[in-house]
Amino acid sequence: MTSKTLRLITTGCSFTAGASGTDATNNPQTWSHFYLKVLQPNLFVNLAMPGAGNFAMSKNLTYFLETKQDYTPDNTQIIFNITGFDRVDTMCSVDHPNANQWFAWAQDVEHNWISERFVNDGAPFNGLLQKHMGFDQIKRLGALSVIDAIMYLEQREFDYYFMFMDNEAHADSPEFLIKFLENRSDRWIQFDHQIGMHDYCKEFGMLINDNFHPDLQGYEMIANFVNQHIKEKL
Amino acid sequence: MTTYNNLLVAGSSVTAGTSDKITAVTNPQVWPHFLLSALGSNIFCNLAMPAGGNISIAKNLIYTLETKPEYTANDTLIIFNIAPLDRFDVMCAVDNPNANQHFSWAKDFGFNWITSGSFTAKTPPFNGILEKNMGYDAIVNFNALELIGLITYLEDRGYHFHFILDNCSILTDAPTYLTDFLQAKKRHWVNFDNHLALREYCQSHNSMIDNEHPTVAGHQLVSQQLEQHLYQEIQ
Repeated sequence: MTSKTLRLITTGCSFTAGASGTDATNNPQTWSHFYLKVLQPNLFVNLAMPGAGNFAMSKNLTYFLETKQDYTPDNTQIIFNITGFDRVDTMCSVDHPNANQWFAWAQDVEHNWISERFVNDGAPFNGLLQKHMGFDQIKRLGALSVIDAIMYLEQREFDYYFMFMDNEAHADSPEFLIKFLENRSDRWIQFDHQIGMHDYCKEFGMLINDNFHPDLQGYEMIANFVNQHIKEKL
Repeated sequence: MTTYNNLLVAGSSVTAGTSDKITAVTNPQVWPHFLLSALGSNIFCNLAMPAGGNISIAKNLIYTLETKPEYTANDTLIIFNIAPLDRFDVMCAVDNPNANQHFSWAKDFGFNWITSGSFTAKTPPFNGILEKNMGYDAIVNFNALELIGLITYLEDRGYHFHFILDNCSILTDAPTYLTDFLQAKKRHWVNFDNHLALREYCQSHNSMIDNEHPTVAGHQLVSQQLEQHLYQEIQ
């Protein structure tokens, strides 16, 4: 793979969400924008959306790669973040009034998502899904979705990497997912002694006012870890 | 024919039946039971449920293979039927009052499924609210992506697997990216003489009990087709 032909796809939740396009380096807002400066790909696609769970992350990635066959294992690197396991995503039409407003690829991929958390009881489902699925099932489906994404990428031999949004997502992961991920430690980006992006940035005082998301300095540090991990693997 | 210690099947009502090996062999009701007798596998697991869609088919299979290491790639034959693409299955707790009553593995797995059975069904507890908010296209897309996820999973882990189609309208309903994907997996796709799907094959042999389900004799014919395919594969 050469940087001349390299394409970068990132996906995940709000920790990864931000503009697509290589000119995002002009005004970096998230870790992937800082990583672009190092990688210098000629195409950059960011499928991440704020509020997204692992269902949407997995399905968006598979859909994108199945329908855009010019993104091949020879020319594309993929990095995603595993997000909270309390999230439920329901695929919907692009123009659904409750669809995620920040999914910039909705028109292009011809679908959008209703993104909810376990404690959410807003429209249109008013908590019905959470009530009937239960937390354990939502977690289990999220874990199976992460496995789906990774097995898809491996079967097609993509160069891929993943990381956790926060330590809590790791702690919530079912045992079968942890075993699965531990067998892929070369693909798993960690942050010194912290597993999650949030916890690393929190430890070093690099969070914004919401006390959850990294600030720009935090995102730059995350990008450095990403770059270092990938360089070491190669 | 190559023998497999484990026979693992999944699907909808055209595959659903007991996992009890003795009952399956002595009183075969569905094609997996006839196939079990022909293969002589020691372990038999039928994950199929009536009204099950591709979401539960995919997730039940992957969950089984991730949590039950005895189903090794070397010693397990997996066959599943692709269900109609308009079904949406929601994973739920074992004791949910609306859970599918025919999923015999629920307690063992620690979860069950609320199965819609079709896009137009308005059964409790969702009463059509999921279908209304997702829309037909999103449900079909979701099903398609589940199937792609399942097939790539099985390929990546090196399992010997095959799939069959419940009926031909699945291909008409499928998005192009799914039909392209399935065409590229032809070696795993079992056809029935000149029929692409189980239903149309059984209809051509007057072996249906209703518009959707084969008779026991129809199931036996389906099993014979699968046996023939497996035999030809090793020739």
